[in-house]
Amino acid sequence: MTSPKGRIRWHCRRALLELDLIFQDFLAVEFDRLGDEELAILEELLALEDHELWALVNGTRPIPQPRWRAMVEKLRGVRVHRRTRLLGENGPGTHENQGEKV
Amino acid sequence: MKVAKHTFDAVIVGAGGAGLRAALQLAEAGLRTAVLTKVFPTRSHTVAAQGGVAASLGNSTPDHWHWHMYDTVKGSDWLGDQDAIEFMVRKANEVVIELEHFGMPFDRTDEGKIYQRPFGGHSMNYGEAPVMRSCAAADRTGHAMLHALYQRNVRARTHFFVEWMALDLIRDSEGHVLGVTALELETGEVAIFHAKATIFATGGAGRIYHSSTNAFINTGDGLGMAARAGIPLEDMEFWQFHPTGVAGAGVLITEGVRGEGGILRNCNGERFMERYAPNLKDLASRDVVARAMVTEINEGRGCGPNKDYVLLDITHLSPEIIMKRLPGIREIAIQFAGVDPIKEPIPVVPTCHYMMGGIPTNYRGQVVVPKDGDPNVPVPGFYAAGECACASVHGANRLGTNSLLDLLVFGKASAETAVADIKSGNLTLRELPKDAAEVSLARLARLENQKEGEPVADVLLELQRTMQKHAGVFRFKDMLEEGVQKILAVEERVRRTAIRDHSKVWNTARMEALELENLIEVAKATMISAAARKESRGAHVRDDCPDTPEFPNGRNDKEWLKHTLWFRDGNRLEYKPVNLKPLNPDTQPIALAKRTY
Repeated sequence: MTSPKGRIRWHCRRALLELDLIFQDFLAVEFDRLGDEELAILEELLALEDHELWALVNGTRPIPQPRWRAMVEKLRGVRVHRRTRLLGENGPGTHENQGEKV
Repeated sequence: MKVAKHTFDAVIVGAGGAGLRAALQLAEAGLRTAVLTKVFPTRSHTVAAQGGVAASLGNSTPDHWHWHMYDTVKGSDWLGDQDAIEFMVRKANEVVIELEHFGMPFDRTDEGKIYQRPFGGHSMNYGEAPVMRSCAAADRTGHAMLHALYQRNVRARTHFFVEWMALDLIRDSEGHVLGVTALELETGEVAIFHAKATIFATGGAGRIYHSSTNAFINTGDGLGMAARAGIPLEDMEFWQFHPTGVAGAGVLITEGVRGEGGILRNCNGERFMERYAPNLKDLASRDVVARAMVTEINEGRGCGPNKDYVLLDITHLSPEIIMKRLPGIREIAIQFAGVDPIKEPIPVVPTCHYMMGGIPTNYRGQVVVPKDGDPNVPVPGFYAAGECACASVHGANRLGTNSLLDLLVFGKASAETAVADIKSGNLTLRELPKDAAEVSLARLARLENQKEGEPVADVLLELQRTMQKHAGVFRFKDMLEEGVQKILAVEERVRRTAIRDHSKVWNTARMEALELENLIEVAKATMISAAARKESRGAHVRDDCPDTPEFPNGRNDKEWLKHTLWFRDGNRLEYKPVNLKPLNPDTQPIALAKRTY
């Protein structure tokens, strides 16, 4: 039995921007397609500390539970998608944060 | 709607470093203490603080609190209040050692003392050379601090209300603060938290900018609540742009990287900071580094196909040093910039990072407002600490590692003042006004009944883009003036947002709509205060106020050595003097001077 989806969605709000960015895309792309079993696994991951979860996603820590692997891969996939979109094929694109006069 | 009531001696809003430090002080004094928090305490944004906490322990190099005071006043571009700054730097050793006793796992020197590293803007002997002043726990200082404080609070039996969002401040007809209204996510119910003392520790509001290092929870909830309750916001034009956000993502690369020897380079491979800050170079104060980076980019020396970022180079450091001292940095660079910093430099740009302004307080953590000619009259029952507060110790620009110090010192001080006020009988449980929850219920009813309206995400994006374009690292007169009109237009749109999800429980759409109502108050305060301040100072740098012999760095002390106070009512601005006198008569004040590094 998983928590209400709204609760899980709220738990995707994290302390680290790194994870917020990943979950932002994850919620938009993957979340609504998850079945009950996947939601239960996602909840287990969301219960981790931010640094711990981030370490799993960025691969610096081995995935301790084999059943977590597919969900961690999904999270990693969202990140690759985001980086490609942000940086494009030719490296970093334009940024809006320099406040140049236009 | 039925509104439940909870009664406590003290209610604290926010469970990051400042909130937990304050709660601990109150709970250990035997007072019934409630902490309301949107997210689980150890998921507060304090977790993200990497660099360390400043204290002049002198474990690694000689140090003195007066040197720290000098650096902080100079860093603030003399807008910081010297009484509050003296208070903070003199309390630093005490709060750090206290934290050590709470079990904080600080890095150690070979002799077993707390290891200290250098950090931007911190110097020995009044600017002579970098000093080692930052106490860190690897690159997880904030995380370790939050865990130590949370465990201690559990022991002290602090009452946590987790996944509750505070909605509005409750004040009576005499202006006393009596607590807050709050919404429980799990049930959708509104409750009143009635208390003798209310402490805001709601953190920053960096989500007003489109490019920000802040997590999504940083929506300035305390500032929105204070502004709606008639409390002014102080010095909101001053936002720190961290020099090294990963280009395109905003994710922060800690200043500790430059502390360990990282170098900024332009497209020619030049270490350009040597030209801007000959002494401290890459370790100069954050605004100086950010401005230098933007100048390099604007003058065509940026890197990449669009020449719109510079490079942070640590390839000359040994992989062992990078892995040992800066372990998280390599992964961030790999994941968000697509480079391995051991082999290639990291693309970086200045990114919104920290709010120097906030709810005006004095050094004791009491919220203060102008009244009957006195600019600093405490609001009975109301305190604030950490990033949401403006003590003001950071003035126009904050030094790295002074924010964790700020939240420890003023989290503790605000609670100590509240404890004294409660125990002395100065603060009692005053009668709640009959309409205590009306404002909050009306806000929720508006959202519930709004038929035609814009999606929250669309209005938020417009708010963030407006702030980024019109009130970024460099500011321009006409852009600021246009920005004021634009942000007021965004405000009209905020009043008409509509949500499709009307479910009562776990309604994240409703949460985001309520957060937007807080962000808009912060955005208005920022834009209007920035347009009005016609000088350059610290992080507020205007194109029309350049460096001249009459106004070094564009700073105009004759007219603008004063704090801004923005009032929501009519977007009115008032000003109050900067306190240039230290706390103790024997302490040498830091005399006004041009800020150079």
